[in-house]
Amino acid sequence: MKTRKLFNRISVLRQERNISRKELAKKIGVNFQTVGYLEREEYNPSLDLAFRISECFGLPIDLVFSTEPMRPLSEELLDRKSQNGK
Amino acid sequence: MSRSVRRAGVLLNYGSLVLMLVFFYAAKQTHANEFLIISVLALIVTIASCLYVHGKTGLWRLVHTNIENLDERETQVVHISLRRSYSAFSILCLLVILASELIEEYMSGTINISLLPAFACLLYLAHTLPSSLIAWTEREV
Repeated sequence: MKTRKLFNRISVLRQERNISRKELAKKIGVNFQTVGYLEREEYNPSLDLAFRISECFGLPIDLVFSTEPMRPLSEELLDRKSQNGK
Repeated sequence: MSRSVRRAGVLLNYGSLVLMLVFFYAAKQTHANEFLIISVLALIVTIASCLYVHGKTGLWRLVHTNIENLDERETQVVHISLRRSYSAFSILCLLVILASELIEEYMSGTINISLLPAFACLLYLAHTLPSSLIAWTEREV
């Protein structure tokens, strides 16, 4: 089965929080090489793993993963704020 | 270790394995010590390249670890690898069986089809075993 590519912000979020790939891998229960594959968007995670990653960063899943190429997080948050303000 | 190095290692490993077998049987037929020495040298290369490609990279451990101790990406990688290996190994084994039977018949000059039913059954088994396992284990298909 062909699957569509998923985009994510794992690399940006991990670097923002100053955690290594090994530390993140330990937190979400995968091999550290798998974190590399996820960051390079060469592997689509299962729904369970996607939720674990989002929970680890304390963000909603749609801020971490998307089917569209991702914009900078600041832009996304500004958009959401302005939408909520309307 | 880069993929090209790993690929070269795999080719060297299997190449030396085939060489070892060829020279071993050649030595057995001709009783020539040179062939035996080459066979032993090929065996050493096989062991060394195996340790390098499968041991050093951790790939041996990956494919021999219990599936419950792998993460989902590793499980997927191992699953695809096992699927392809199963196909290749089945075909190889069946070809070896068929070839040995045909060679034996050619050497003896007799036509003996005793192994052909077994060959056909093994071929059938190789094709139906995966679906039989699914039929056995799955609640709904």
